[in-house]
Amino acid sequence: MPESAYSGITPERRSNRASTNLPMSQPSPPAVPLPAQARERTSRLTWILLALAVLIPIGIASGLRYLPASSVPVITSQVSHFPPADLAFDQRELGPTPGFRPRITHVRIVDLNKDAQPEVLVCDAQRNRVFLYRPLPNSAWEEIPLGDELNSPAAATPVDLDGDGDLDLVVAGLGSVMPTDETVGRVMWLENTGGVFVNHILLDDVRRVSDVQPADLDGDGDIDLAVAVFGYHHGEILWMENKGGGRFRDHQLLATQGPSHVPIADFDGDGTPDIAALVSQEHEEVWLFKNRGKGEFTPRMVYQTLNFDLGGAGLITTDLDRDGNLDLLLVAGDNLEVNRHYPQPWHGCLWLKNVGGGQFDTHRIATVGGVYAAAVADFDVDGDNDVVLACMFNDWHRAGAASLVLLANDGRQNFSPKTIASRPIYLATITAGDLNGDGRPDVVAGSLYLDTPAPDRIGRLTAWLSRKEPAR
Amino acid sequence: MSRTRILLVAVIVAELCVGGLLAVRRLDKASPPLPDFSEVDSVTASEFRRLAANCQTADDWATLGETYLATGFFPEAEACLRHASKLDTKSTEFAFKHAFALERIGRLDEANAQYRSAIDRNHPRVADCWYYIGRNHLRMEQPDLALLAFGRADGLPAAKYELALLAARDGRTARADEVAAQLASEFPNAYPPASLRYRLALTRNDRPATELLSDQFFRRRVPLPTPFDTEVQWVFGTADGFGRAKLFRDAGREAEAGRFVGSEEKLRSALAARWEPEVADRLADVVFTLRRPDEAVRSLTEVVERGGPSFERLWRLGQAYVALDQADKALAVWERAARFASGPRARDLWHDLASWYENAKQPDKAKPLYARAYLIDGTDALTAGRPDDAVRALKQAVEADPQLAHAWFALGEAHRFASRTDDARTAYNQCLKINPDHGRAIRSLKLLGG
Repeated sequence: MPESAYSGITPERRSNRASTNLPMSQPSPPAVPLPAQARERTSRLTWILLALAVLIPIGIASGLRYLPASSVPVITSQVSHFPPADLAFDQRELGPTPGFRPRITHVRIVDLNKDAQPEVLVCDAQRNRVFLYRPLPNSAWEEIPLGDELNSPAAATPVDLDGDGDLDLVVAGLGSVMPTDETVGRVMWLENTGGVFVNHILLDDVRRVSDVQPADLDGDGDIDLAVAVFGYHHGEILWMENKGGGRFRDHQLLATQGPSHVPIADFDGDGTPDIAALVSQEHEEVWLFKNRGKGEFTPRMVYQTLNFDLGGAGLITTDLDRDGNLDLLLVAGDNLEVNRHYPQPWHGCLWLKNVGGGQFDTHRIATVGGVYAAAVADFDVDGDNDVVLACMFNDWHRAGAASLVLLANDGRQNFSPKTIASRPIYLATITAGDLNGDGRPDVVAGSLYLDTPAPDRIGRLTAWLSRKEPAR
Repeated sequence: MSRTRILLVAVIVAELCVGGLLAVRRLDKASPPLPDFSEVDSVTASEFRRLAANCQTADDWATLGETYLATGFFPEAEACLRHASKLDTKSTEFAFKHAFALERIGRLDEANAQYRSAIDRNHPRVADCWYYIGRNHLRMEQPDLALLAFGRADGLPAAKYELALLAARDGRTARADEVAAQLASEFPNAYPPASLRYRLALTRNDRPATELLSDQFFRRRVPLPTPFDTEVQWVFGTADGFGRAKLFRDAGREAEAGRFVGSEEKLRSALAARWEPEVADRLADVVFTLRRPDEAVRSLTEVVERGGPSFERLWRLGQAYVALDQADKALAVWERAARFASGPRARDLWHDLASWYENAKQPDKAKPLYARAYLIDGTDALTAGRPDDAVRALKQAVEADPQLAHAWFALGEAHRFASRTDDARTAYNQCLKINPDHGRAIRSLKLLGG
């Protein structure tokens, strides 16, 4: 008979002791005293069990703290992250270090002194100035303030306004980057007097002015201006008739909330410059003011959408498909509905293809979050026009959200977005041109911060110089 | 086995069972999402972590969700409000707020489903829910569904306006104009109905009507009331009452109540968490009030150098210099500000600079600046609907500087708004004598038939 674990206790005895089925009438077998060793082992077992009973809850309580709870899933933006672009760029900051929350509202590659060397014209709404950046031999850039301080300049365009042979600047004086209906806006002329720029006010006591574009609109040989008064609740589109001697008479073309850009070109091919206008702020339209000559214009809406939340943020003129007709590119990405922004699934780039006679067909060429500006050039040097997009309001809380996006043209005006860069962020304005003379277009973008991101995501004026070899 | 041991084994088994249950519950229990706070100031980040650590009930989840929404963490907000709605399936408010959060991240069909859920649960703002559903259909370019939804919004003025817009786009211009006219009459200060009527007149090439309606558009200052006003209020209220922003807000309240020492404390705490020019600017104001202009100068100088030279900051810097008896320095910064100042907030700058010149016995420089200050007083009164006060101020403006063309124009507007058409014509003509190219004066004169 096998011995039990407790020596000295035969199975019969164990079973007798354990039995609970003995009839009451049967006398219990006499108790058999345990040997000393058996008593000692029994106590140890009890102590072990007791210890376990005490330690197990302590162990459970401690262990539970480290047990991960499941996180509620978060739905993230589908229009913020893209595969990397094939093209290679050298990225560098132009001008001084960014400092605290830069606010660059406009950049443009120009040749102001007509020496065939490219310069970068910049509107800075933090330092309240227009600057010109000239390249120096040692790859540095010289910062030259133009004219006097201005209240939040929003756009600057070179033009010989007074017909004296040199390039002046017309500047849109926004007056405030933050929304306001107050009459803080101005139209300014920075007159070039032998390389020194002198400020003149052409229009004052108006609401925020977001764009000014020059052209001879009435065909009398001098330069007039198209003006977008963005305002906030109230705005308007004006054309300013040049009366000579620095005097301009303003004429109203449209009274509306939200006009932001007024590019000028001969859209209908009749030889006279027409005015296109982006009107956002719940309207989300593009208007064409057909020039009938002698200062008369016929307004017509060439694009509209029911989506009042489109976020129209920029409108530029370009012959995207190189068919000889000037098209329009509309970028959408503005989304400050309440107090914070988020990229929306309808943001991106729309191509308003000019089909002749001032008629336009609309094509969406990219869906990208928070787009604020676009520039067109043949970036991959394959004979067709590509587009680069600057993102102002992408999903900056998530790493890798694109701030600079390339839309490479496959030759048939099909584009797919690829990320050139994800920092710096809050890119509000962009321009393209050959900065370094290598025959390939480069990109310059300006940042406009409403928040304070980490230092490695802050830029001010950033250049992406294209390299010949593809990205690794 | 002894009874003791049996008992102990039973206890151990029970403990293991309970422990297992707790472990399963723990694994099942949702934890709130925590975004990357590396770019959030330390005060706000620690408040977020505290809220997240205490997320137990549906109310806790909703509070965290609303806070995320108000501070721009929209995906996290949607996740928290989704969970709150799941924990309390009867709550109408959670369904509504979840819908609002879904809208912010562009998930419009789902947002509409949640608004309908709120409607089915008898949310107190049923009409508003239908309005938002309609707006989402517009975002999705679904005009027929938008029409239906706005039609169920119980005659909300904002919904009527959207119906008028849809009618206009549909070619039913007479109907659109009728509704817009009704709204314009019901809300005499609201510009959207005037804007719509103006566009309808433009479409039918009715030039006299467009000129009249353009004028009305500019004279009506405010938007129509919409349900969104309620959401904007709670979002801003939540944002301002949280983290570092709360310090700034409370500092402002302390200052308004005259408790400047308390205000200073809070502003310094906010600055310690993160330097920002707006906060440093407010601190300069407070220490200036506490008669420490030297500190105000230091703070404002830093604000100008780091945050940019706005004319308002330069004006305040000048005031601090005046308090330190450094009048020349004050003049330098005020003249700098004057070169680019614009709009009504420049009023005190013009006034202070004018006073400086007046005290320096340079009346020729002082008068045009006083004129600009009076011009702003006049246009402010006009904007506030007080044309007679405007006339008084503007008369002072043209007296101080008879060559200030825009003051004559504004005087003409004030007379016109008070229906004094002859006086208005006189003022406009005076404006045009000085500046024959003042386009607004030409347009306003035309409205009077002149």
